[in-house]
Amino acid sequence: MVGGRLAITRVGFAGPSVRSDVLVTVEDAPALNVQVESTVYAMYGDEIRAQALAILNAIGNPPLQVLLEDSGALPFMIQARLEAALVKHLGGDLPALAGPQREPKRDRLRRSRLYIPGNQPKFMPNAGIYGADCLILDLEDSVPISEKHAARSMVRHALATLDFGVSEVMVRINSGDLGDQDLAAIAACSPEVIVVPKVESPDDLRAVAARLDELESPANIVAILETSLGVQRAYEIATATPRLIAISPGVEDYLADLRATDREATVWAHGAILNACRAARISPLASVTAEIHEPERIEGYAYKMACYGFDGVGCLHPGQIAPVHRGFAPTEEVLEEARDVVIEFERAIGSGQGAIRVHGRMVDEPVYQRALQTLQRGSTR
Amino acid sequence: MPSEANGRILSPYQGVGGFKPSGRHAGPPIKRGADFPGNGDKRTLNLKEALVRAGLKDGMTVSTHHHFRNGDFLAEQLFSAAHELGIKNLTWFPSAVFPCHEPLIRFIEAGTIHHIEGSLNGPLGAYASQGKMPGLGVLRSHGSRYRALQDGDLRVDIAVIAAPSCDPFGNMTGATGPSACGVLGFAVADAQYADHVIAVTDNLVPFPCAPWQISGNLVDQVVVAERIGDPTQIVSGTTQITRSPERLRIAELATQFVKAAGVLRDGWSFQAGAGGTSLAFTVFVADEMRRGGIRAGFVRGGSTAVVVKMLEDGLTPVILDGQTFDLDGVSSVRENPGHVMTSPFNSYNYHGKGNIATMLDVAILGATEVDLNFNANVVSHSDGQLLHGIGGWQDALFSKCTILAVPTFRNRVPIIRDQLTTMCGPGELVDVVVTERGIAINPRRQDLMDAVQGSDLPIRSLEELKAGAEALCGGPGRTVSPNGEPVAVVTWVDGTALDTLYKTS
Repeated sequence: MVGGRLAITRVGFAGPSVRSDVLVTVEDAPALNVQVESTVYAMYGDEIRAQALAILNAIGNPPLQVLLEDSGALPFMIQARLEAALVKHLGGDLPALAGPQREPKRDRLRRSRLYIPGNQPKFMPNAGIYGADCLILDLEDSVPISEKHAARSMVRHALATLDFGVSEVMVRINSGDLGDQDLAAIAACSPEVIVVPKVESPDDLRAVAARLDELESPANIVAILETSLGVQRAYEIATATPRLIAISPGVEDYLADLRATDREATVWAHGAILNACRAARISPLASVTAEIHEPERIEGYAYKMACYGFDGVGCLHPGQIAPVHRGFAPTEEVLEEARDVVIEFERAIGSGQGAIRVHGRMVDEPVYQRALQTLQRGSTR
Repeated sequence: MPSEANGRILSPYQGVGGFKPSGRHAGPPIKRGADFPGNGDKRTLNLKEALVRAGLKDGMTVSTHHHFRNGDFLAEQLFSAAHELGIKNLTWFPSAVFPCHEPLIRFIEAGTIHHIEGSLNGPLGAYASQGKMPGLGVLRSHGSRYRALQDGDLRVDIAVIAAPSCDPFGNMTGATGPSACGVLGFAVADAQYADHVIAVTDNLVPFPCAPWQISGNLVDQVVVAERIGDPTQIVSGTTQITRSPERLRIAELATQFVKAAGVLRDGWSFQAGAGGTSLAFTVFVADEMRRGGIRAGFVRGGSTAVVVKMLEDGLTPVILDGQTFDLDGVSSVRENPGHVMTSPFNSYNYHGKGNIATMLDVAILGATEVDLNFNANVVSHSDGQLLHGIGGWQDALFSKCTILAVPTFRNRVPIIRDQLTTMCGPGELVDVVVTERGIAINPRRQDLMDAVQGSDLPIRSLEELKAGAEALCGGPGRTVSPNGEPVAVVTWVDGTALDTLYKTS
């Protein structure tokens, strides 16, 4: 320790097996000195140095020895790593950052939610190309406690920089104080949904909602219930805040809390969450599937969860997305009816009618919207 | 562009089909059977002795094949023997080199090997890139290597052929023996055209080694060695389908493309590979064929467990196998009459009266760079480093639908570029570029554009894909301009000079 702080600060990763990351090492020095090593030095060495110097210039060129060991990190990753290292070394807050404004939607398809570990940037640039309904940039269980700070910096830059395609962007924060710091770091970068883990009471969610109010974020909330107490209070939690759009069980922690060893023991929790969500008019979402490379079993899991009444499942690998969407696909009969509803309703709108009958059923705007969603679910890409 | 390489005149590239050679093939010297033992036993005590009897001298050209892939022991044994004999300045003419050949750099430094003429990749590519190899690397495709022997571009004085099973007469096969590697197609040209042919085996069988893949009538001497290869490296773990989500996405899009374009239909054919994306493509099209009750006319290998399963399940009546990638492939070559060995003459050769490549409906290939005119590079990276051989890449460009399956960026470096570091393949032969962010169809292929119209495939222009990658990567990066001396020449399938690789620091 030097003057109450660490003599050397390291953020990020380097090494022969590392791709798309940069290890930033910062230590006190008589004057500012920046050193760059890179696997793409011949092509981007000058750019990397210029980017680092600009960041350091913005904070008054502090007397530091700064080493960047780069393994092909994209510019946003370099920015995130260097900022995190400087804040960790010098103290203070991450610099202000804002990205494209995303508009949270309450109702949309959420069949698949793909988790992206928050401190593994290599998975981020392509996260939006797989057609997942939702992406969860994770600050919680996939990030070791010593990397929370680095992950926050990475996730907020990913939010500010990347195009996530058709996917809704969620961030899973930590519970408690860490979660508070997570929100402060990422709220301005416009996540559409905040996923709150380990929720045990309505107050847990009200606190997050209040913090989002303060931070002027319009983000919605998804709660994860992963303790016996949380599940017991499912309905109270489901009605805690208008920001809440969905609840999901956290199966592994819940089983541990129950002291159960058989996954079948979650059946009551699934029922409780399903019932609470439907009663509160929010969406029940099922947990992740453990199957990664067996498409038929992944599809089978999704189909079973769809039959229970869940609106979606979690995914840990992009390869799970297509089988999950197949599992949630409506039958050909249902699709046929939805197609008729859409065609007839759009024709009626075109000729100035407000509501019509299709197959003997009244069709108005909400029915039309649901039919559109059904058709979307039918497209399993 | 150098006009000569290692003392030979190089004609400049004249466009696809532009160069029209004439004259007659080169050939090996005339020999007579009466000079060989009447009992058919051509065994010599060891490799060193065989090299002496073959007349090995300074400055000669010796060749090897690469069916042992990363498990080859023979090249090292060969140059050790030459080194012990005090021989200098050999030209090594391998059909390809692998990382296992890195130790041979010491024979270049000792002067035993003057230079390598063959696909330079991995550590030997890096070595050549640094300008350390005397002489110029001449990069040729598999088909063009065969052509070079036919044209007499270079003459192989001694071919040393690793033979997993061989009889005393020299009949040999790769299908059996403790070092079985499948087919021996790459050694066929060497057996036919070299002045002197030595077969080296670690599994001597009684005459006749039947069915043989290469006939003993072409062989001068047979040497029995303790081990010629490491079977675990001969067939390395390529049959595992990639878990890289990007590669799986590219393979999936390529599969959906050939389906939507109507190319995937009864009687179709494609070239299968063992690389991540190519293997995944094979798995996905096999699934589509099973679902749709579609049967191929033929599949050209690289054979793997995946194509062997296609053969066994009746999805294809035949595998035309150029190289065998795994143990399922090896046993299939041995046991299944529908699994047929081919040589680069059958598949790719420029002087053949036609070849298999032009009959392929689809070839899925990789690339290190693609420019906006669909020209592509496969040997060097954008930093100028020579890191890969051409292999059959140029030859397979002649398929009816050539698909380059590439990511839009690798390790921050965008793949679609204004200017190629090295030109390896003309864009007029590249029909489609499939990336994780969309599919670009060559404007020359309006028919393919029309065929996929109305599908939900993400059809993009190369310009759009390039802009997307550059936005993520922070621009195209500095273009590494050629300075310093040439280290290798990339030649086209007809032997003309296409581009030059330069020394990197």
